[in-house]
Amino acid sequence: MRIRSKALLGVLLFSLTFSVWANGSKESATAKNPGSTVITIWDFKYGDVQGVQPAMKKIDDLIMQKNPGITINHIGQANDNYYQLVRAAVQAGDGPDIIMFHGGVQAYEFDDYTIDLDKYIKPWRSEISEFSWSFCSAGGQASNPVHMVPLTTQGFGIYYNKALFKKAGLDPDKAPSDIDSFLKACEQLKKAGIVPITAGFQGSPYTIDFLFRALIANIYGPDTQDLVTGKQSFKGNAAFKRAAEIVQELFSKGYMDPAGTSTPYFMDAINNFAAGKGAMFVGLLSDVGHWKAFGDGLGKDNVGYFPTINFPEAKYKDQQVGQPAGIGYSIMKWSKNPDAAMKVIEGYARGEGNAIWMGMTGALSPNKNLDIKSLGYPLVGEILKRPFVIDFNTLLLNEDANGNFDRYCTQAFVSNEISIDKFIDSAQGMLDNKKNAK
Amino acid sequence: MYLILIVFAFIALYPLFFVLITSLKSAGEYINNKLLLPQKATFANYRYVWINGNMLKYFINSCILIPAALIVYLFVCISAGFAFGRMRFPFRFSIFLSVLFLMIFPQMLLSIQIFQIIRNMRLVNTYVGLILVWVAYFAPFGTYIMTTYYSSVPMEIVESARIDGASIWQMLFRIMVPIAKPMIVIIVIIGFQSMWNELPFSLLLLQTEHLRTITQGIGMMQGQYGLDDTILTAAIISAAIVPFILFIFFQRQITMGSYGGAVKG
Amino acid sequence: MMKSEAVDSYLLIMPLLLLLAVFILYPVIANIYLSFFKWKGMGRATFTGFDNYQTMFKDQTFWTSIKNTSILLLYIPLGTILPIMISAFLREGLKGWPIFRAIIYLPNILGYVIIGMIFSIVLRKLGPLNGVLTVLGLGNLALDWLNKPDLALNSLGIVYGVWIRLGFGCIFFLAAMSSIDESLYDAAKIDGALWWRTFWNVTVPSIRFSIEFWIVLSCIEILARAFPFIYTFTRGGPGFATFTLEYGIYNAGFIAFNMGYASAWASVLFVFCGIIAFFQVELMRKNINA
Repeated sequence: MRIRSKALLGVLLFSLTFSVWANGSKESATAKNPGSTVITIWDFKYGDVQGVQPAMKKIDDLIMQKNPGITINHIGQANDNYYQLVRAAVQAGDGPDIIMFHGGVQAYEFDDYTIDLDKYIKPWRSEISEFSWSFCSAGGQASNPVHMVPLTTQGFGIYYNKALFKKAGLDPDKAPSDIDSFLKACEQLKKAGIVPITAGFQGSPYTIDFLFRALIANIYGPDTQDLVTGKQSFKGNAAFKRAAEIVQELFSKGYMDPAGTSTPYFMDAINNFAAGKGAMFVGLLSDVGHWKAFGDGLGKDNVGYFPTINFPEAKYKDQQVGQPAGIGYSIMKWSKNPDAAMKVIEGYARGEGNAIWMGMTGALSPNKNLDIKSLGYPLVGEILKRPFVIDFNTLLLNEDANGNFDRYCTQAFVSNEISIDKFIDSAQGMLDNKKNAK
Repeated sequence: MYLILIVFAFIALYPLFFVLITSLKSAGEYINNKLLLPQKATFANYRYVWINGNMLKYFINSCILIPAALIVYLFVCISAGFAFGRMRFPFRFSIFLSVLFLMIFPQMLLSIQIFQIIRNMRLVNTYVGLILVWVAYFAPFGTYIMTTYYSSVPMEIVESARIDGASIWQMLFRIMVPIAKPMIVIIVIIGFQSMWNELPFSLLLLQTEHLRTITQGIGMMQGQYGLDDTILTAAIISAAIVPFILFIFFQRQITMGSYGGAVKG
Repeated sequence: MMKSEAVDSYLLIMPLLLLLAVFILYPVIANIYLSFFKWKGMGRATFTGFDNYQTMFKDQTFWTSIKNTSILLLYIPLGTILPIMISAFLREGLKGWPIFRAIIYLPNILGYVIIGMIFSIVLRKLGPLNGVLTVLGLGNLALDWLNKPDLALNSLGIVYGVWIRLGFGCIFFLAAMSSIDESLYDAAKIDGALWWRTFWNVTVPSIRFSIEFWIVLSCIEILARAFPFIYTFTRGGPGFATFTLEYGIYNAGFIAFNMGYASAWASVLFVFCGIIAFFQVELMRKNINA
């Protein structure tokens, strides 16, 4: 027993010293080539081993190939506490050269800590629309310098399964043009024993959330920005009330997937639609739940798309809701090598790297030089025909955009805890929060 | 009576059983068959978790980090436990109560300041920093258990050592540790399980790939959008292997475990 | 002799006290201090006096969180009685009882985060639990446990307040009962007492200290350790149904990044914890003097 416990003690002491030593050596492992500039990137996408990481690895290699003096140290951070880490780094005044941000409010919070990029993007500025650039400027004001280079534009819309449409006796090439034909289509699908709208409500009811974003685009169109200045509002707006009633109708008539409350949107509901379990799906134009996944799952010619549901009370029609920048890269003020960092970012945002990015992940790139046709998915061209209307969600405060709105949706439509009027009040409260925020 | 116990055993085991069978299904099968045994069992999920998910690296990291942390943890708990349980000194009771009081606070509250302190000590992204925080957070409970145990040890043994003129450190190793052997196993197991499954502090202080623990690994795999249940359950089972083995092996000691808190004195 | 003992003692407890002072005491105090400021986790902190508290007391979600937390605390009695009774059963010397003890403890090795994930799958409307209920012919009990507010909160109470505690509870109380004087039981048997009476008149009073300590422990668990579980279980939902005080701190601090506001919520949690600590101290004092 004595010898065994001594041996055990020895092993433990060894592992203690080893772990402490190991840290030192591991830290220095990042500088591969002596004398090369190390650019560190923080990312909340890199951890996605299935989808995004392989693409990023390939792009990183490409950039390093083209710029032999640069070594990229790409670190993925957990999504859940990503901004906590970023803020801690900011507070410490030190961290990576490049940080990935979500476009909109979350990026603007860090404007004081990211550098102006105007002089760097000048030579190729025209490759990306001014709509995106202004969204990526400080505070989202077009008159301010650009602080972030967008890697994706994102949006939401409704995909449909053409084969299932045909099976229910609907014209597979004709998307429902208004609320009446939409409801009629749902009814026919239901009668044919097909789930009209595949949905995911568990955890967060993203199907409802995304559907609202699409409907709101129709109601306010280019005036969406006015929602947070007070010129437009949810409360007292007959069209918004009608939109809420439409959503409620979809539930009460049983058009929403009855399995929806047991299905998380990510990834179960997405997988369900890609496996052909329902006719329609409120999906994304992003790196997931999108044209690529559905095209691959259902057949490239079998997927249809329409941006939103038109209804008479809404002022506009067929509006495509989107975020001019979904995610992007910024260079931090403390970076000692902004020029090199910018080269890395350019490797992602333009040229061959950008093509790899879009081709492998399916994310929509805002770069106009990209040859969409070469991707081989006719649906993409169809989607990108329309210009974007800004997503109202990007205008809200963090806690409302990332949590409270979903909670109100659940209360109103899933658990039926609050009435439509109370829902509208809560939604209006979000707008007021933003308006009153200092 | 047996029936009731069997029901409880079933209730305790079923969730684990469900996790196990889910991890053996392919994603396609899972969409259609959520509840029953897999028709075509596959290890693809495990392969994915261990190879693509970089789990091996995280596993090794945890295996290095946790024993090291446990050594520090044991040292602190045994020393303090013995002092509180067996020795007399002014303010003993008040200090002990303060220690217990500090045990109450949730991790979240402490995160921000802890990060700042560790950063000021330049110990972010080191195992040393994380070990210090872990011991600070988990030691009060361990100390409490050791205290109640030591206070039930007969006085004579301690007295005789003091009469021999033993120094504090000799006393520590030659007397305190051997006496507490059964208890030590218990707090090692409890400490091990707490640290193996710990997430908030690890996420905060270990910010590079090379250093992450296996529990962080599961969190990382989740990504922004969550993970297919089949892969998630495979990751869960993988991470649970070591605690499970330890549990079986030390089962007897664990279950004798709560003498410390339960018995009077 | 006395002096060196004191010095030695302080030496022994110094590592622990140092760690606690730096990593726990300081953050706790800093938090309370911070609740009088407005801070975003970076940049400057502006002094705002009692603003955060005023906003908090006017915030509907604050009161909801207090309500939810209180309801969860109501599950403590069940979470105490059940392990005691199971332990009493096991104690009778049933064959293979160590195995039962081990099996019931098994879930604990997974950690709260993972158990939360597991139950978020198991309790779905189309999940395994309802599947089993339907097979057993109890189909009308197969409700949407996670998506109706009352059901969600009570599911949380049962799973977190009772089920998770069973394993450790049995071990805890079995150890406690093992020190009960057998002669008391013999006396009861001679008196011809039934199992139930023996249980209440002999077993329970003998482990009074353990029961009280367990209750304190349970309070701590529900007030200050529930968050990882709730996060993966229901994310505080549906709506705000499982939104507890702890979750509110997380929301204010790490989603809204309104640090001062989060600290105000935390101060309320401290008050609750302080009350628990007070009972803990009283318990210890009583025990030492007994």
